[in-house]
Amino acid sequence: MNAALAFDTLLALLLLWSAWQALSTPKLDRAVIMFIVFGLLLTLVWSRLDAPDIALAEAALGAGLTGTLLLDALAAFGQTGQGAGSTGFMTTIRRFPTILVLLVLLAALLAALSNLPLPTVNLPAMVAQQMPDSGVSHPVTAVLLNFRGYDTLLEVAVLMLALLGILTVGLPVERPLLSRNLLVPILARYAVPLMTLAAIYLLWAGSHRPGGAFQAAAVLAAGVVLLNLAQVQPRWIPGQHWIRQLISAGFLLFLCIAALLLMLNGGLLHYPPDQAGLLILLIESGLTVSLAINLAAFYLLRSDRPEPLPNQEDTP
Amino acid sequence: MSSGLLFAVVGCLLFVMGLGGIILLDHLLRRILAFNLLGSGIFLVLVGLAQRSGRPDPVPQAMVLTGIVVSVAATALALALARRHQAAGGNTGQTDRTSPEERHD
Amino acid sequence: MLLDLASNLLLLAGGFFFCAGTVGLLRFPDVYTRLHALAKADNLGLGCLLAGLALKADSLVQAIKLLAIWPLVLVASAVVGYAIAHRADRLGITPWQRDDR
Repeated sequence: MNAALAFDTLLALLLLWSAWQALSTPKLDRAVIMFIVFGLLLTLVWSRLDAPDIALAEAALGAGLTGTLLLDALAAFGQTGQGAGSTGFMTTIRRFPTILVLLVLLAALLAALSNLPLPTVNLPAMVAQQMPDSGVSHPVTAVLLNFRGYDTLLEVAVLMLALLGILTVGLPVERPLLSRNLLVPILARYAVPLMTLAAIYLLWAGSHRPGGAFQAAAVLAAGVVLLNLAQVQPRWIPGQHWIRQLISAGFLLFLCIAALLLMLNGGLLHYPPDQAGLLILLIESGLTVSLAINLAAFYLLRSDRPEPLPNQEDTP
Repeated sequence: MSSGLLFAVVGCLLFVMGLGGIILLDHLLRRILAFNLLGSGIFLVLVGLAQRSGRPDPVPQAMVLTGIVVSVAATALALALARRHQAAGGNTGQTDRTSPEERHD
Repeated sequence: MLLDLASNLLLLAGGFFFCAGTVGLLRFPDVYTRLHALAKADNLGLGCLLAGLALKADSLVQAIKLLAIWPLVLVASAVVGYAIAHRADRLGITPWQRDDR
């Protein structure tokens, strides 16, 4: 066992330990913190697996934005002490059949992993073969926006749908913070322009090295969240038009280009090879702005103390 | 065992842990955590197996990138629903709850 | 050769400082002292690590990019440390005294 595999094993054990802690620790705030730790360890794992794009996205979205949403939900749920779900996890006898079935499932999955059939199609070679026509020189970006562009289009629609779902749930109420922090606004003043610069660079760099629209959008969304935490940016009101327009603008741009190409070239998202790079950059720019607003809206449009349901009396 | 296969095994373990968490845990927030672990396990399997053909395969990596973004959206929606459910007085599986006025905030 | 040796020494020093910071995080009695351990020892460890990696970098641009991480992390950890300590103070957590048990 060489040093790299030893390091990977250590990383894997830490990953599993933090995941177990996130599920089984009695205190809920500790569970959320362990989940954030899990996300950061997972970022290291993606780097070890030669997937720098995924590592960027996991750090910004998986550990960062998800962690922020969870911590905020934790505050809304109230700090819970003992007994926050730990009582049921491994102690009751009637859970034994479920655990048995899960272990059988695990054994089946591991057995499937140990005799995998050889891949019949050599996808990396096919991607590399088509790369000169794709308009970009980074394979993951080419796959995301050219070869599997339809998936990305639908993914943007899914994000918009999730936001619509959040909007129907309740109206946000501004909750005053406990203390007026003096340093965070100063940090925001210097950090947010740097983050904007980093996002623009990530967007441009996505065409020839790890980066792209999603990572850029995640960094911009984090900047907006930081502004909210610095109490510079108040929470958004759902009826404001510019939010809706900016979020749908990116998706509509993508959809219009796809429809145009359908009419001209006979196939959805069949880019003409000499203009593919330009079109991809255009689509990615629109996506960056609208996805950044969308992701930030997950945090800034969340509801805190929603209005009571229409036919709810005083007594429970 | 290559590192890709090692992390694919870890992914299977995380998947089963997450699935067990969703079924066996009571608290809504923990179920959301378990759901995220389930998703991360699946992503690990995808990318771990992408290492098989020597060069890193970009197609599963692009799919996992899409998956991470979609799972953030799903988590946000699930949290919004859970908070609304809790504020409307529904059962969130919490056995020891402090009311919003009692906590320090 | 000398560059390699200096780089490895810096990497080892970085690891040592991180270990020291982690021991502090685990063993110190209250939130303020734990913040000390994190903000000081961990950032020094990060600086040593980045300096060691910058010596091994392929080009000057890469080395500058690595070294540019350090002031950003310093600023971020300073602000976050202040925020945590401020909130702890507001919540009424008093610093540990020697006679506390």
